[in-house]
Parts: sequence; structure tokens; C-alpha cells
Amino acid sequence: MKKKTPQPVWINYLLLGAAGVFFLSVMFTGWKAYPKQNHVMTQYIADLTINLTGLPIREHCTSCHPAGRFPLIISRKKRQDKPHPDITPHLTEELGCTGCHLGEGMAVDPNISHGLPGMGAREVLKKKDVQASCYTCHKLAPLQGAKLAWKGYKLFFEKGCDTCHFVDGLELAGRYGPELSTIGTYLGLKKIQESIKYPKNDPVNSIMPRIPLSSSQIKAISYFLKSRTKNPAHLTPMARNALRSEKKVHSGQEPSTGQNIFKDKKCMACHQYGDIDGGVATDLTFIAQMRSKSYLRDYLRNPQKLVPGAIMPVIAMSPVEEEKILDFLVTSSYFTLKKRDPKNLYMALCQRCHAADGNGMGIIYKNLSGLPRPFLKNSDFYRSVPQSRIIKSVESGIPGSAMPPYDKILSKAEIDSLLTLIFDSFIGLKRDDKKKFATLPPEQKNPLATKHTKKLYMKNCLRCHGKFGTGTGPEYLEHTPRPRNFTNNVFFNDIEDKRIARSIYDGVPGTSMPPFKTIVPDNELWNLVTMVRMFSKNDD
Amino acid sequence: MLKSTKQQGTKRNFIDHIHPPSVRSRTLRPWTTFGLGIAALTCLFVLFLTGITLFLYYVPEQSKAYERILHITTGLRFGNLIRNLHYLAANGLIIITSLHLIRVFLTSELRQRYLNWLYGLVLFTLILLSNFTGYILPWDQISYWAIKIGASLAGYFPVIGGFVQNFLLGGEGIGPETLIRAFALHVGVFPPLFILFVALHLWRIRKDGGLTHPSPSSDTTLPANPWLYRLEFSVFLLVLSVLLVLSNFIDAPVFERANSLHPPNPAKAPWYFIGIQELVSYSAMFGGVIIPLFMLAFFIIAPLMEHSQKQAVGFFMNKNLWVKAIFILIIVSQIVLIIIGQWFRGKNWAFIMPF
Repeated sequence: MKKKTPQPVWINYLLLGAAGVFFLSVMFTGWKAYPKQNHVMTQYIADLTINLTGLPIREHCTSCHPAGRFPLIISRKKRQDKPHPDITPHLTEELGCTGCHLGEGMAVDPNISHGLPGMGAREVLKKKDVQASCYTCHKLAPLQGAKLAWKGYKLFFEKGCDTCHFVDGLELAGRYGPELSTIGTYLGLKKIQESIKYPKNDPVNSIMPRIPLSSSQIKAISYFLKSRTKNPAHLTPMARNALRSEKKVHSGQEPSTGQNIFKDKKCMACHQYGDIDGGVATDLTFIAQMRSKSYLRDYLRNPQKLVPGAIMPVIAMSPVEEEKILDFLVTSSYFTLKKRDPKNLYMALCQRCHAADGNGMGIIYKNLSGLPRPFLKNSDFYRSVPQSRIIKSVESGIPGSAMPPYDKILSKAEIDSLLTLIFDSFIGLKRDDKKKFATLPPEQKNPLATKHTKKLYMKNCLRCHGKFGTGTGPEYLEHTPRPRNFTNNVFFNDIEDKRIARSIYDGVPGTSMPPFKTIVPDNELWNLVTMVRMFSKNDD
Repeated sequence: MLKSTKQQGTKRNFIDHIHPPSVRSRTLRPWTTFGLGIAALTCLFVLFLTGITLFLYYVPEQSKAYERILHITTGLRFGNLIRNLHYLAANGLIIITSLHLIRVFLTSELRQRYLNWLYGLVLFTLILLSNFTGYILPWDQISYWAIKIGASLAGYFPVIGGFVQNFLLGGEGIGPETLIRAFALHVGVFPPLFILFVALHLWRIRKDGGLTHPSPSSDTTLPANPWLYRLEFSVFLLVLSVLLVLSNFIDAPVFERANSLHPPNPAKAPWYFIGIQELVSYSAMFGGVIIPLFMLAFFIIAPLMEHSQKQAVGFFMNKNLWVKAIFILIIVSQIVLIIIGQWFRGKNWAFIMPF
């Protein structure tokens, strides 16, 4: 027999307590979950199934919107429901709600039913925004009630959006930017508007330029884009495929005049030419006078080869069209500079990039491959640059950048007076005020960068200039001007080793490049120059 | 009372069968086991019950799944409650079984009960897999990208990684098969396995002689009926109450529809795998392969590294110092990594402060 043990009576109390707690929690849950009086849930949940072009769509929307307009707020003060506006020839009973208004029809919850936040793809379209849905079913043609959406469609081409973005089922378009054929399925109106208005918000390294558009224009375009969905109701899969193959790459017919092609290709959606200005890219008014025809041809065929980092897309055109455009540009160099005093010259030629107040942030600076060199508050930089280099930059341009040569349209005296103006009014420096540098360590030529040099590069340069010298290291977005792209061989072919060494040794004033003379040992300086040269080696 | 139990010998019911006739008084003390085993069983019970209810309404089809979840959550009476209970019990189960595992590892003499330890590990794996497959079923933005990450974490494993990934996704990428597969595993494969292994797990406890105890024991024994039963029932009711009350306040998440083109930034794995994701963010090889493999191997062989002679029982007894140290290191590091991954990681997995 076992000895008498004390019984754990506390278990009884625990059980009693647990039972009590359980009872209370069940009561509480029941009370919480019990439908409140007069709440929709106590009445009925409307459950409709609508057949839209073969896709059955189930909805509970009319539980709260019985007549289709304001929600039935069931409280002490009953709010009279108003009928849906007349949309003849459509019938609300046939179309249902979510086909046009989006939202989540299967939910019965004021937040979830109207589309959860995030990308906002299913966010409810109210009032005028509903027209964003029209062209998911209707073919693209002027449509009553969808005026803004139609305007958006036209703007999409006028503003040259199709130069970069491809939209399925439409005319020949570029593939430079993301395809927008199904954008409406994935993004909400607000998200689309935001991406047009602030293209560099997300992702931050987006190369899309900010197109000058009014907010109503942006709205219009967003209406059009919202209607580009994955399964457009007006197209059967077969019709879609047929459209894809039918696309004309180059029409056989004779292209019209160069001037028309120049317009057709929407060059001025971005560029300036005479009085017409897209406000996104460089001024082409004098381009044919400054650049040779072969340069322009090469540039058209591959802009990034001549100006690495340029965001201009390759424009699809036939060789005939290309020739005609070039001929038009070269032969019709009508424009002349009438007022040739320095101030007018600055406003006509420099201001678009270098800005009217000389801070380098002209209206198009964000879309250029690099920041135009600021004049204002940048005297340190100009003190360190020899006079000859400054003059050369203006006369023959800076290869590998958007700076064109001006010697064809400006005389030496005019360039000189322009420079004097810039030095006097922006830089605040006498033109012959130059900094004296310490002599560089003796030049050593090493054909190959050593292991140690690579380590040095990794440690000091990679953060900004990147692993492969592309100027896109982990920190590159934090610096303005952006770190130099070493793979810009057009630029580096034009400069001497001594200048590279000097930039490393003494830094570049007015930029984020600090002097490395105390960090880089003398014997490694020229090895680093070799390394930069290896990045910028012309691979062709 | 002891007498009556004996008399019932021939009519003993199932509950009597899986319990011993008498238990040591130590077993009944709350801090011996903290009731974690019963708590875990309660969660499992709730999961089966609510799972069957959800089963009636869910459709494992890409275009329907999300709408069905919305329907369950908002359109059905008590639908939200059922779904919340399922969600809470599932996540509670991971936490409770983790604590159970820690308690067992630190207090028990596992060398003698190696088989049951392995059953426990199998159960824990089943819990993680069930949770993961269940996480996918709403087919919203978060679950879509969680499966993408979960599958790519699996892909880091050499040799079998690619196969596991293919098996989970039902193809190279996420497609219509993925959802059906997750659903089939979640409701058709794992529940029977749970029943099997829970049965084995409980049976093994009796076979191994109840809870481990110091020997020679100075403990007195008490009849299991009614004391153990009452105690277990109390734990059952308390856990149930906690789940019920919480389900009124914590909603099972539902996000936007799955958007295959626009990942959320950052895209995160379910919280129990975030520790691994955090490790992978440092090194795919170490974080995704070597460390998880090491942890798995450690859990499998750790009980074999005990002193077999001593019969000491209680926290931190009967273990080699370094075995204990590694175990605690693994647990603490996982907790820290999960906290960092869950709350301290922002856009592009950059370190942020959560407030």
C-alpha cells in the first residue's frame, strides 16, 4: 500500500476558475460577434452573379448599395438611397458593379470592399474616375462620357510616351521602358499618376524623365493606362494574338518628308527645336550646325555609345526615314542667333542645362547623363581648372557628355566674352586666378593593376564608382554630381593620364571626390590611373 | 479513488488508455511542464475544428481563392471569428511547441527517449510546413511573395533544393499548380500525418514511463483520475479561452490581391522563417544551407551527447555544458534574428528603426 499522500486540491479550484474564464470568454465572443441590430448582416447579403464576356463575376455590392449609389446607412437616421445615374445604353443589372467600379465584390466590409491600400489595383473608381474602365471593354475611339480617357490616349502619343513604353494592340512602340499593356490590372489610378508625376520616387534610380504635364493631363493619361488590363473584355485571346502579329514594323509606303518624319517620331515631345519645346531633352535647334551628319547618325542609332548614360531611347525607324530626318536637320539649318551679346547667348545656349542662375540645375538637368557643371558657388573648381581646358570645353564640347562643341556657331571672341560673363556674374572669380598644385609623384607605368591596387580601389573608390567602374556604387545616389562613370570611354579617350592622377591626388573641388594624397601611397597613384584606364578601355 | 480506477479495468475508455493509472505528484506541479504539451494539443484541436469549417468555403483556384477568403472573412456569420481562431491557433502552436521543445530539451533525459524526441522533431517540422502551406492559401500580396521567398530559400539547398522548390511550387515558378499543391498538402497530407505522429508521440510517453523524474524518486504518487484529468482539462479550457478572447482583437491579415509584377518592398517570409531569411541576407551559402543544416543536425544528435549515467532531472541538469551552450545559442540567435527581420528591416532589406 502506498502511504497516504496530500491531495492536490488546488487543481479543483484551477478547474473551476478555468471553467469560469472559459464561460466568460465564450459569452464575450458571442456578444462581440452577435450582429448588431439593424446592421446589414442581420438583414440579407445580396449575392449576384453577372456574366461579363464569359467571365462570371460574383458580387455582394448591392447589400449596402441597393439602388446603386449612396450606401444604405442603417442607423437611427435612415439615409435615403439614390438611384444609379442613367447610363443607357448600359444596364446596371447586366454589367454589375465591379466591372466598371472595381473594388472587391465578394467582401461585405466598408474597407475591404472598396479595395485594400497598397498598389490600389482594385481601389474603387468613383464619379468621374469610372471612365478609366470604359476602354477595358470599348475599342479605342472617341466615346461619350470618357472624354478624359480619350484625351489621355491621345496625350500618350503626343507626349511621346510610346517612344519608350510598349502598349499591346497599339501602333509600333518602343521597348525601352516597362511594358504597360497590363498596367491597369496591377496599379491603381493614384499609383499610376504618382509614377508619371514623380518618376524617380520609386525606384530611385529610374531613368524616366519627368515629362512636363499638367495634373489634368496626368489624370487623363492615368485613365487611359488604367484601362490597359490583362484580359480586356473587347478582345478575345485570338483577336489579341492577331493584333500582335499584325503590327506593322515598317510600312512599305514611301515615308513623307524629313520634316514630317521629324514630327511623326515625336522628337519634340522631349527636345527643343526652334520654338517647339518638349522640356525634357537637349536643344536641337543648332545641332546640325554643331555636329556632323555622321555623328548624328551614329547617335540616333545608339545614343549610349556616344554619350554613355544618356537616357534617349533608340527610335525605331527605317534607314530611309533616318536618312530623311538627317537630311532635314542638316540642310534646313535656318536658325541663326540674332542677339549675340553674352547675356543673350547664355540664355539661348547655356541656360537650358546650366540654369539661368548658374547652379547647374537647368530645366533638363535631371535627364542628362551627368550634372551640368555648376558655375554658382563653384569657384574652387574653376580655380583648379586651367584656362585652356575651359575654353576647349566650350569650343569643342566635352566628349561623352551632353555638352556640344560651340566653335561652329560662336566666334572665338564671343566665347571669350561669354566666359568672362560667366566668371564675373556666377563664379565670382578672375579668369586668371588659378590654384597652384604640388607636383604629382613621378609617373610610373604599370601595364597591370596589382592586387594591392585592386584592394585600394575596393576600399576607397568602390563605394561611389562601383565594382566595375560604372559610377553606380552602393552610395552613388547620395552624391550630386554623380560619381564619374569610368566606362565612359568617349570621355576618357579625350583626357590625359595626368588629369586622372590629379583628380585622385587633389580631389575634384565642388564634387564629392575628396583628395586622396594622404590615403593613396605615391607608388600606387599611377596604378590607380591604370585601373581607371582599364575600366574605360574601348572594347570595340 | 484508486480502487474505483482498478475496478473500472475492463471498461476503461480511450482517455484512460492514453493516461497512466497513477502519476507522481511532481508531474502535477505547474512548473514541471507548464502544461505546454496539452496547450499544443488544444491548439491542434482548434485547428482541426476551424479547419474543417474553412474547408467548406475555400476554393483552391487562383482567380477565386482571394475572393473566397474575403467572403469568409466579411460575408459569413462568425466567419471572421473562425478564421481568426485558425490563424491564432496556428501561430500559437509554433510558439507553444517551440517552448515545449526548449522545456523538454533542458529538463529531460533524452537519451533514453530518443525515439520520442525524433517524433517531436517530425511534429515540429509538420507544424512549420502546415503553417507555411496555410499562409499561401489566401493568395494575397503578402502570401504570394512569401511563397516566392520561401521557395527560393529552399532553392539554396544543394542537391535536393531544386527538387524541393519544384515540388512546392508545382513547376519552375509560381503557377496555378502552386495553390492546388499547397492546399492538398495543407488539408490532405499533413492532418493525417499529425494524427499519426501525435498518437505515436503520446503513446511513447507512456511507453517510456511517463515524465522523466529524478531517481530514486522521493515523490509520492497520485491517481491520474481525477487529478491529472482535471489539470489537463483546466489547461485545455484556459488555452481555449485565451484563443477565443484574442480572436476578438487580432484579425487574421488580409492584404491586396496577389500582384505578380509588383513585389512589396521588402518582401518577407512568414515570421517563423524570417530568421533564415535574415541569415540569407548576409550569406546565401552560410545562412541558407550550412547554418540550417547544422541546426537540424544538432537537434537530431544532441540527445545522444548526454551523460547517460546520471539520472538528474530539472532545468540544466544532465547535459554537457557545451551542448547546452549550443542549444541556447541557437534558440537565442533565432529569436534575435526573427525580431531583426520582422521589425528592423525596411525597404531593400535596409536596417531601420521600427518607430
